[in-house]
Amino acid sequence: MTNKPLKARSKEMLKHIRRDRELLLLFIPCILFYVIFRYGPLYGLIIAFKDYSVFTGVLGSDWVGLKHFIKFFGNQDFWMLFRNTLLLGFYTLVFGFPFPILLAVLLNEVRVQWFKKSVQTLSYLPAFLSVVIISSMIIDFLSPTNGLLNQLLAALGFEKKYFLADSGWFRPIYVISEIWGTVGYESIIYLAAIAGISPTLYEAARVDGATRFHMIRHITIPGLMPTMLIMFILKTGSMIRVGYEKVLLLYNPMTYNVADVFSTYVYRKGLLESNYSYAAAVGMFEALVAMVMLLGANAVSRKIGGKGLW
Amino acid sequence: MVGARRLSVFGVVNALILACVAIATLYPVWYIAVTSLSDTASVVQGKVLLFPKGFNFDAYAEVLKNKLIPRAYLNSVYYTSLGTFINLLFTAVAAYPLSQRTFFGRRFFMLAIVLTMFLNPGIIPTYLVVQKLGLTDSVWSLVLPNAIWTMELIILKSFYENMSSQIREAALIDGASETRILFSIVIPLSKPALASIGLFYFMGHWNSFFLPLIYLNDKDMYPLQVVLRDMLIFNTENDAGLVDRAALAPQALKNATIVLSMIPVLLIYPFAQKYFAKGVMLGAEKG
Amino acid sequence: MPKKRIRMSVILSVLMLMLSACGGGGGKAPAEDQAKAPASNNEPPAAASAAQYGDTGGLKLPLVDEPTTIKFMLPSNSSKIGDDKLIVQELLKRTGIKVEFQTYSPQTYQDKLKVVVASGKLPDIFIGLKPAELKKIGQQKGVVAINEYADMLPNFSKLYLQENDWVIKSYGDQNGNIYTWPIYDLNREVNHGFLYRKDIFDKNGIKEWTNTEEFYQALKKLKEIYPDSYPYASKGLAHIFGDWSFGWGLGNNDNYPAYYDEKDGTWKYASVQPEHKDMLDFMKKLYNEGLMDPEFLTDTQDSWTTKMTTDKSFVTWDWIGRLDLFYNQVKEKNPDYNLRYANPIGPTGHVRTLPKVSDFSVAVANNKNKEAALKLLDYLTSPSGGELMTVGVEGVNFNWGEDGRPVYPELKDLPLVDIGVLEDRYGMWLEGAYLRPDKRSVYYKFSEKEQEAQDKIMKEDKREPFDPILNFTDDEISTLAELQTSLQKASEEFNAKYILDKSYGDAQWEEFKKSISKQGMDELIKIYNDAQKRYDAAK
Repeated sequence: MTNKPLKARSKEMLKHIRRDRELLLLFIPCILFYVIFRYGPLYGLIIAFKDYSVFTGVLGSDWVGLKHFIKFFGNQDFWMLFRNTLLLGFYTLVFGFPFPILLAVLLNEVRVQWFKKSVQTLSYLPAFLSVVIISSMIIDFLSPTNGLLNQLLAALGFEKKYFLADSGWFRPIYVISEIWGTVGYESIIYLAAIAGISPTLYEAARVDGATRFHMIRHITIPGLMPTMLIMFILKTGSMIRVGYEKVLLLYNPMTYNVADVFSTYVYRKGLLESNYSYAAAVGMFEALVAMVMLLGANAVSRKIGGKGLW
Repeated sequence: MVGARRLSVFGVVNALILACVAIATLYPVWYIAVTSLSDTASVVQGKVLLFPKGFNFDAYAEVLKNKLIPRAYLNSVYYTSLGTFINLLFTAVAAYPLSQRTFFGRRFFMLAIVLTMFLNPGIIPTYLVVQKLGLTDSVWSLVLPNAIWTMELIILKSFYENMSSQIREAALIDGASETRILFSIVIPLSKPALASIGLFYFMGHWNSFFLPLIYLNDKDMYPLQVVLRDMLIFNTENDAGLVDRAALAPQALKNATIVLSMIPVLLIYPFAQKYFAKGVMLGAEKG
Repeated sequence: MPKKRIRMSVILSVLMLMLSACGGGGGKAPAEDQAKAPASNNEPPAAASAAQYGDTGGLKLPLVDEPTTIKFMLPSNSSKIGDDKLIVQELLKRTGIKVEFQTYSPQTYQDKLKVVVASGKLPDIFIGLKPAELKKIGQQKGVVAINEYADMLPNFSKLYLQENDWVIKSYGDQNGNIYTWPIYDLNREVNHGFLYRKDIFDKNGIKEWTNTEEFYQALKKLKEIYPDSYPYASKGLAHIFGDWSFGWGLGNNDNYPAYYDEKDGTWKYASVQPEHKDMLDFMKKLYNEGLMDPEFLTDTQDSWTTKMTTDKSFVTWDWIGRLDLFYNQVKEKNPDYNLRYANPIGPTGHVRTLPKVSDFSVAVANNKNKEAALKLLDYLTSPSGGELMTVGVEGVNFNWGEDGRPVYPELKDLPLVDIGVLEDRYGMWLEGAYLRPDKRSVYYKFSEKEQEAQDKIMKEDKREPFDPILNFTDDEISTLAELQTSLQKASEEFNAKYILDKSYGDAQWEEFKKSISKQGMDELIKIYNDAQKRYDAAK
């Protein structure tokens, strides 16, 4: 940042704009979109600082400052909820991250086209099932009396177990079912990225006599690196946003202590009292945490791969 | 390719793993399809496992009897194709300037865009904006407020960035405009990425039922998911117990609606799948 | 390639656009052709007297001098309640008001309501806001304080100001203003309870129980005969504690675990009462002896249905309609299947009482149509309006049968004529519009099984006395919501662990009582008792 006089700097800026004018023109629809539909409604965020009533509207409702935040942080269960939310998101991210990549890599190695396409299509099927259906299936699958899993265990000589009532099993069940549900869907990005790797690299390696593992390690994986980093950063940013639906359907009194998260708590409270403002305050807190995590992940990514989101 | 003919250990193990994945993801949907073709009593009694029992199309006949369905199907097709087209158009264009390192204001724009991923004011303020623009009760309320998904934008931008800059520079020297480069070079070379985010957008539109319910008031405009869900209540428990409709809908009926909403997408899917194939990017050398 | 694809997509989209435009303009979905319009009745409405339409409670029909349209927003599963529906036409004829029912599916009704209210244009009549929110809007003059218009509302005055004045105390606000139009005498006396497989019991010579001990013995005998079964199954998840609590004298419809103890006129917390522990001990016994389904806390509805219809379980607790629902589902394969309503269990042997007057938050917007809207609601509250909404129009869509129940000739081919069908065909039984259900309606026509249930309970009125419905201030509601969410969770957690975990016993019970007190239970109960004192004082 040279200390040029203001006039010179603004002249430079104008030159820059003129040079990029076509790009800026192309970018205008995007700017319009974000301004109108993303930043426009943002005034609604202030309801976190108000006692919002749908009738009096955002501007007309009373200002209450930090009242909701204080209530939220002061709640006796706050730290438990925070821990549960963070851990659930964290485990889902850390354990779930490698699988779509693995699937994409393995699929890529298949030579028989019909097999490759079929497996890829089938892996995608869970994306059609709503969270309600998936949760019902999980409950049935894990039933302690006649669920498939327990029948299998019994056949192998093990004792049947009531998994859903065991708080130690809640997180694994949640994470594994998340992986099952999203692995096919998410592998698509990586498959597309692999498609972008120049085939000549593979050709050259083959000519040099490289094994498949070697090619995976030295061509496929590095080729996927940029995509992996971006996905990792983005997912870290959304880690804390654990949705209420699936947890609500899968938890029960025996697993409340590990399963209850911010969103389910807000949901239950909302059944007793209209709490838009409170929910907005909780949402803001989650957003803050998410931002911090994203910036952190971005910094880490820059250190590893030299690139971040910007 | 190494081991194209020979059965390598790697190949076999790989195939086994993938087969397991395929079975694990297939079975639940298979079960749904199979029960939709079975008679209620067998389903309720848990006798249906792998194949339909009491094979019949009754559930499908029941669903298709609803006069709203054909119209709803058309609506869904319309909203989804228009929506996906707009999504891809906006995203593909917006990602291009962002991918140029020297783009004026790039960092600022990126920051502003990423920020929106965290700031979600909720349904009411967004609804009010859409309403003020006069978009409610039209397809545009479903298509414009979600024209760009930030995650997809960032993914595509990253894709563009990984493309070789030599071609662009060569084209610039030849006097091509940025627009020309974007549409004649960058976009064609990004087919895999566009296909994959296109698929995400597609599924987003096809599965959506909440937004249509909020923004549309004319029931003739309802898409498929809304009509199907209206037909059954999956999990509501009416404690006053006036009418427990959920109990009246046999499982076969519920599952038939799921299958019916899946079929169109599964038909399109192979078409999009083509673009994930390797070799599409011939000639796009990484600089 | 890309240009081509873009072009293709554009063409495709334009095609779609044209198609839907054509579809929209031309063949609109054909109107429901089942509800035939009343053929006759061409007399001018002005000539209609009270006598012709039954008892209007003193209201003069028509209700308005000039054509008026009222928008009425409510949840419904029916696709469209349009001008062709009998109710809409009849209301227009009798009252001169054209009612535009804006219906939305129950699942998304709340969200739609939020958005409609937020956009500033309240429908003339709408239901569903939470009571506290509605009161706030009322105090801001957004909705009408119905009591202020009592002199032009004879039916409202009679029912709610004269006869059931507790309604204002419970559903109104601190200043005696009521913003919601109540619903009179909707509930059947018996709606939930224990259900048992009479055919299985008979087959094995087991008698229906009359008390808790016999209940236990019956389940035990079943387990001996069917060792692979779990005789008692449940789909209520954690609600089971609230559902059973009536039998132990600890029940309350909306505030459980808080309940009102008639003996000393105070509110208490069920989860720490000695009776509650007795109930838990009983459940624990059932669980440990394999008499209760091990997954009673997580069972899905489908899985529970399977158990109850395939001899894996024989006793459960549910809504009374299940008696016929299960039977209809399996009668082809198992015609002997016979699910019946059973005697309650627990030391009091009581079941819950449903309120005589319900509150669905039916509100009237404070706009130029308010007087017409109020009068419309008052008409619907009269015997005449109630009959229209829940029975129909005599000679047009129904005739009286020999049993004093309506018979619908157009519907004679349907297996079951219930309120859902009536809603679909005629626009009857719309939630929030049936303000005074007529007891002669099919809803109160008990099947043989339901009648048996009625008799069982009502012969000696085994119902728990109805707890007062209290009125809380805004701050109280806020604190209650905060405390209740945590306390209820803690209670459910303890209940579940006590039953499932073998190591839980008296020591843990004592510990729980202490810890829940620390978590704010005392504060919660105090709020209830303060509100109760206010309630008692406002006689």
